[in-house]
Amino acid sequence: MSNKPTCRWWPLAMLGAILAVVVLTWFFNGLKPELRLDMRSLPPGAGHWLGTDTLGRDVWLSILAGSQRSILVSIGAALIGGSIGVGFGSVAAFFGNDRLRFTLRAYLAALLLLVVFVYSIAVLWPTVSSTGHVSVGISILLALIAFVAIFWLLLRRFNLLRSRITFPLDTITQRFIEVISVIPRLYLIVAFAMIIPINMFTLIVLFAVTSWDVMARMVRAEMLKVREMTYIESARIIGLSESKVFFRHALPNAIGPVATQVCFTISGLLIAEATLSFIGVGVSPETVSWGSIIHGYLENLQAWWLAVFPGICIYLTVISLHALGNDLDRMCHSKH
Amino acid sequence: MLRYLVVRLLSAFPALLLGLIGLFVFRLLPSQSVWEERIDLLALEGGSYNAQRIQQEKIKIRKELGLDLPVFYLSSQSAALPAALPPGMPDVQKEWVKKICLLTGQPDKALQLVSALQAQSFSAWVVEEDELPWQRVRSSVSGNDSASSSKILSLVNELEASSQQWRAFLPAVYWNGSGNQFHLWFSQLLHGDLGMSWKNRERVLDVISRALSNTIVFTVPAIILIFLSAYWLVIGLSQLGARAKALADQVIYFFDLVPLFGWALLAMILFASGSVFSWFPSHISASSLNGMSFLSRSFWPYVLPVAILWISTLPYITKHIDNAFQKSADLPFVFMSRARGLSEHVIKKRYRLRYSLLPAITLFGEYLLAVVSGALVVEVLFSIQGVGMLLTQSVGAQDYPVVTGIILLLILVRMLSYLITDLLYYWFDPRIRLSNQ
Repeated sequence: MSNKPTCRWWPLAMLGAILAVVVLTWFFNGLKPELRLDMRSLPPGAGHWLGTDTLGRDVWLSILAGSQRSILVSIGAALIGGSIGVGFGSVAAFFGNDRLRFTLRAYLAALLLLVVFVYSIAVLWPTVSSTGHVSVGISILLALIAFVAIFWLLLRRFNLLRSRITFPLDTITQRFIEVISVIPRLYLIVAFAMIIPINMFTLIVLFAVTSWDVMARMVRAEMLKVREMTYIESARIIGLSESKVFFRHALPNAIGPVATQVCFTISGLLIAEATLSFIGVGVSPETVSWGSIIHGYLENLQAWWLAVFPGICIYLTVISLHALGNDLDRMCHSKH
Repeated sequence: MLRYLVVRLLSAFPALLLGLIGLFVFRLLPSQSVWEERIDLLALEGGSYNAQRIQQEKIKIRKELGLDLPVFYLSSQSAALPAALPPGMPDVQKEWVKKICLLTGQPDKALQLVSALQAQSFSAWVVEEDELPWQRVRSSVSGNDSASSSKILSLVNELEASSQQWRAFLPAVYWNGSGNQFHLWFSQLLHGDLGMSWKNRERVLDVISRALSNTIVFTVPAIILIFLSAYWLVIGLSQLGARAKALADQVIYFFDLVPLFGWALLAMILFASGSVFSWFPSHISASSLNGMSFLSRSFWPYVLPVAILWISTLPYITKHIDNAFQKSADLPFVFMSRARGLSEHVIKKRYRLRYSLLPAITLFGEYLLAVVSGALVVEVLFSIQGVGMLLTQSVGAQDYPVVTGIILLLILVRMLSYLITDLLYYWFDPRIRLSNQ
């Protein structure tokens, strides 16, 4: 290819249309499907083009309304998880196991803060919530934090405990990623459904927590390359601070592949959300998502329209996200 | 060989340990009320609706499940609270004592007051937000003139006069010894004992192994089939012409994007539900699974589950093997084999394919996970009583030990997949085998 690769038009058009539907259903309440118990499980026909489900809701309107949950959950979780992943991965790779060094007094201050934290969880919180002395509790907490700060400042003033110990950030991050990726996401979230109610908000949090590892791995690999580049070295030589080198020069060059990966992650989460709703996790009669429409098919195996139409929507979204991701990948690589 | 294996196993150990600790934290995460609800349900199963009987039952169950013990070796709480409350004390009274202790900072006197009140069969134990607890005590005792009443009154006055509220903000640290929940849970785990199911008081190990046998029946054939057919598919693809190959690549790409439940629904609609054909049963009932061995089980119902897992994972594996195969075309060892005069067919089958199976081995862990995840969907769709189905049912019944057991099983499967990957690498890749000798 001689000319510069660009985005194809159809994935953008399709994603734009889906986003438009999400925004429209957000603002127009008239698009919500209503319960019609006299029209249960109707096959596609004149009145209801895509049929109705077991509660008599129109499938077409359900698909429109369900796009909101399906799309918002996956985009939100991918963005949050992406930022966690980029943060951890880039910092871990840039500083590695040897570049992040703290003084002994910093470790000591951190340990004291941890003790204060444990104290406020185990002692302060029950006491305050039971006796109602909120102001006393807050002042004790502030006094303790101030004490740690003054202690640290004193140590710094007299330059005590100044030997520096490296913090093995990279190893810790790696172990963390390993643990996160041990259990399949599907099983993990089904298990979590036992102890917390699954709704849109908790689903976003759970997805974000279980999907940042891929992004972190990717950014880490890229950052390991970037940190050996000569321009990083020269930025250090001209005397820029570590944080400036990191934010100005290293990070912008390492997050190129993230845009592609975000597209793939969104499509993966879209499928995960649909799968969870299909199994019946987090499904309630009030919430509609593409997966929950398909869940209705489990109750009535003759109602194929409940599975086919939302399934087509999911597949089209996934295809356009992947096409967009591949285009972005190509554009990203053609620059170099 | 043995050294290689031991090193690989040890490197997986930290993740395993962290996973186990995470599992225990998973138990502590829910608010206490979730377990209390569960205990309430269990207590009601006893058939008695008498409040006192339910209370006794709850204490018994909590003891049975080990929930009355401290959580960890060390525990910390306010110094105003007594180190241990009497085990037989009902929950409302416990709340009441805690509140009094935190308000006065006098645990011993508060306990004295409670035992005196218990002797008087005092009933207003409810903790109110805006009312001090002893006002209620005063008003209930004030009418009586007996000796015990005056003793209670004097205790209350003493408590109020000698109040040391500041003690409530002091921390106290207790060492609980080995009699804590973590120690017991962990040592049981090391002995291979996962405890009892809360739902039907069966051993968790039995419940899970029964479910596991139902899952293995269709996942293991699927895994073997995926591996073998990917191998043959890549050979087939390498014999296609350029245009046919491009078309096949497109088909593989679009098949790869179909989610597993898409295939599952498609198979259900087309072949099982009766909308189009009804060649296969749509429900694989438990009765057909009660056979003695895998062989005696009817083979026919499992065709669809195996096929679903197969087709949803195959495109991904094939794509990766094919990529590696394409890239292997001009590697030095291929030139070398050509120079030796070997035929293109022999080079392909014996040298290039072997080389391009390496990424497939790396992916083994990943596609094992994909198959395991897919098994959950397939089991729910076909109502097979496998591990995934057991998980959803146990989550519904809040059967904590079974859920923990299943998560533990998944961790073990993952470790096993690492081990198998390493073994396969050792087997297939001479670079690793020779460097370890």
